[in-house]
Amino acid sequence: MSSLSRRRFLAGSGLATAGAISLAGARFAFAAPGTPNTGDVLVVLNLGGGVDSLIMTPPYDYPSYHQMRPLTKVLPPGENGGALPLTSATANGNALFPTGIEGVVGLHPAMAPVYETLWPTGNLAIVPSIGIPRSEDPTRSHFSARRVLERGTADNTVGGGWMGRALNLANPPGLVGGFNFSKQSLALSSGDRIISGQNAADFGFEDFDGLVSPAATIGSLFSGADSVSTEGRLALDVTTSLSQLDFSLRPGYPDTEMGRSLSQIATMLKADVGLHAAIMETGNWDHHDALGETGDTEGPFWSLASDMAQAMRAFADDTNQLEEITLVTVCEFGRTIEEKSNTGSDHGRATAFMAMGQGIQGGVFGNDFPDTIEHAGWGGDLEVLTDFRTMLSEILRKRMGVSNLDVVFPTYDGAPELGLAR
Amino acid sequence: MISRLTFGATPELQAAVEAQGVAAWIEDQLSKTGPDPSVDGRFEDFVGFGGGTHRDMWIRYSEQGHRHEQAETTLSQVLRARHSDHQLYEMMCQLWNDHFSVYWIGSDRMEHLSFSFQEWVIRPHAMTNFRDLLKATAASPAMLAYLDNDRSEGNKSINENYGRELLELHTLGIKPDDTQVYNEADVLAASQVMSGWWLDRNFGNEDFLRVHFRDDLAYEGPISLLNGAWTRGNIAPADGADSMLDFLAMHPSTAEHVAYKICRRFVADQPPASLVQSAAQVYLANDTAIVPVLRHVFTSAEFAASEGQKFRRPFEVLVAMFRALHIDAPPSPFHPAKGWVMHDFLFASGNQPGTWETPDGFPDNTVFWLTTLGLLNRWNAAARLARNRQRGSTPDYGRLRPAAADVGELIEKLAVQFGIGALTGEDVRNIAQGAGVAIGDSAEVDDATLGDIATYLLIHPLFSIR
Repeated sequence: MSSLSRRRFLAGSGLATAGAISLAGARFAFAAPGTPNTGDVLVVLNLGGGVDSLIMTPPYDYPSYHQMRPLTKVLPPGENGGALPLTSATANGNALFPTGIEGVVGLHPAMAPVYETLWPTGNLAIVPSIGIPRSEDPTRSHFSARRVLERGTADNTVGGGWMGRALNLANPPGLVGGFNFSKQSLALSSGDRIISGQNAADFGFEDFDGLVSPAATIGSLFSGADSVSTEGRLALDVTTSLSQLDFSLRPGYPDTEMGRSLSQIATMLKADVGLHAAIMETGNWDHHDALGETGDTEGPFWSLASDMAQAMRAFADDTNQLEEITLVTVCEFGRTIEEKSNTGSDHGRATAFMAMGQGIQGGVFGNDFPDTIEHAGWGGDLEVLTDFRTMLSEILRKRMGVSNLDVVFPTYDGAPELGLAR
Repeated sequence: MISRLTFGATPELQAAVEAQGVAAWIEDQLSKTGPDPSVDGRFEDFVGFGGGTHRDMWIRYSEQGHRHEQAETTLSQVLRARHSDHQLYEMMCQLWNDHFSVYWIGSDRMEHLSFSFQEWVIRPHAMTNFRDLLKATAASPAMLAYLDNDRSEGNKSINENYGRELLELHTLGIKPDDTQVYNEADVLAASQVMSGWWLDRNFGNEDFLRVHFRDDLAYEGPISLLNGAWTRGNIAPADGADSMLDFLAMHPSTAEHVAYKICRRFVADQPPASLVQSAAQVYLANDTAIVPVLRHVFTSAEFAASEGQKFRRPFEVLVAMFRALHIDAPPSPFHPAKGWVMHDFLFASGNQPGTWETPDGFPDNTVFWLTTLGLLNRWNAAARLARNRQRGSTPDYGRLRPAAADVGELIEKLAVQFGIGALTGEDVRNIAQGAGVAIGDSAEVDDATLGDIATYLLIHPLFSIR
């Protein structure tokens, strides 16, 4: 057995660092790294399961809304359990409504912790009637729709996720790159320097206790110029960096999964480990039942939204109201217009996304919102009027400095930007 | 050489190869074209081995739960890769599991079909001939359900999922230069041929999970593939698939595709075109038989010249560690190491069998697996196993320990034992130091120190290379 020939691998072959790998069966197109920049940190919150946008962003004054959602409707602002108003006045003139969707939809009252701090300053943007166009996914299958949402395209020969590709293109400086807290989402995958784990505190050396300087020993074994050694030294640096950080829950954060994940992101940001993108789940919004009744200030939907809002608020307070951070909520689809007698709703189409941060222009955006929700769309759903990639593309371009959006969203034809990012 | 054709070196294997010579050993491995029966006694309480029909299997697993089936499917692969003497055969089973990849996790269409797919469809044909293997997958409930062929209605709405993957992934393929011999019309044609093959998904029925042909769902018109290179002609629709699969199995593009997959598995991420071409010829000359292709590859000049070009994927490195440390693989889903093996290591590393979502299967290239987390996971695995931190998975330190004059020689011999080969003097010194000893010290170190030395050897970059 010749170790010389083994070392030839280590010395010679190296990594394919740029361009598409055109091997039969290989589906990953790694974007060539772009010029390093210092754009915003992108934090994506997956509202997995399909958040009911008629509850999250209710058109509280529509007679058709009251008609279609007698049990679950959210009441107008001012009432007990009523919606939070999305108007120019409540935003002190800081919000924009380019397509006239002002005072049409409100925000669910459980979102108050976020609304209070980011709406009046014009840093909270809402996009109702957004989602995956039917041409990309005609089903209402979680599996299929999630894949499109994560991949950024319905083309299933494209591997990995849109965030991973965007991160490669952004090529931000620093060690860590991206952190994927989600067990399910592949949006932040197939990119360089992406770390996956439910808990950043796990990212460390286990079972090495009692050994004399294991990091130094490992480093000495990975001292070569070859690809394995190079990656090994990076792994060592990242692990050493992260394992030195104290990931205990920062003050003010709720002790929930979201609270912990956002707290860990904050810790990494403050430690300057180069974190530039992160994604996490926020619980199960698949409310086939238990959306809660009108006027409720409790129940499964309320708890989910409230927990999420509190964690987001803690994160905002901790980061100077999301300075140099853009936080986005996404989900694979919304729910049916018609409610069920058990106060639930089935899988639908259009839903609502949100974006917030110091670099976000507050307001309500999107191509349109229907005048009535009675027979809107196909099969009793809110129709998708804004392609989810329109919103994400603008954020990537303006806030993360990513310009090759055709690599991030390969089958997306493009559309005029919404105007929600500065 | 051993590491290239197996899931990892062991002293016994090294001695056997030494005794008979490499060429004879390779021939011996080529003759072992089925499962190693001596492994069977190691399995404890696997319901999957109960036999019967897919329906019987479904009933057993629905009693145990989907997770139990996942556990049995994964652990049976780990156990066989660890303990089987038919190592090349087990590597081929894995290759075909990737080539005909089916996704199990969280998919309600695939309930309780994973173990039987492995056991009854892939394994019997892993080293016989590609034609039989291809036909077995095409007729399997798992593949038909996964790729929606059971939702294809020939004269109303054809589902092209299976037809597409049949051409793109299973047979003709897309070549490394991105060219392909088939087009969209061929995808439709293949789907038309496959229409009619239906899976009974009604649990109440006697025929539940049985695949059979339904005339009422079959496309009626003429079908032509690759500009008339194959036509259904007067063949009865029920026999169309068989005829088409014969044609596809023997198509030069398929030969190249299969040869490519084999070369990529055993030679290099980007195997030499000359070898792929010559291996494809052997495939065709031998009527899709697999063993002649393997023999051709392993005795080729390109193979001899390409040592150390493959990076071990997480599954392989885990098994290699078990083998090096003489740790027995978990024999049942109730074993204490099961959680760590399946979830903390394999799933966390993205290589748990059955968890690759798309039909193209787990990637087989360095770029995908050589990641920060990938390396950290295997470093932690090395420490956990070699330092005896995993309950139920204790290394056999006695068998592990080579005879040596001093620590330096101990490390060198252990490195050879692990299949790493010769280390640099600097590596030997650093490993000794890392384990808290010096190279001149007596080789009579305690088990803990031996474990520490082993940890660093398993972490060494060369352990991840084969």
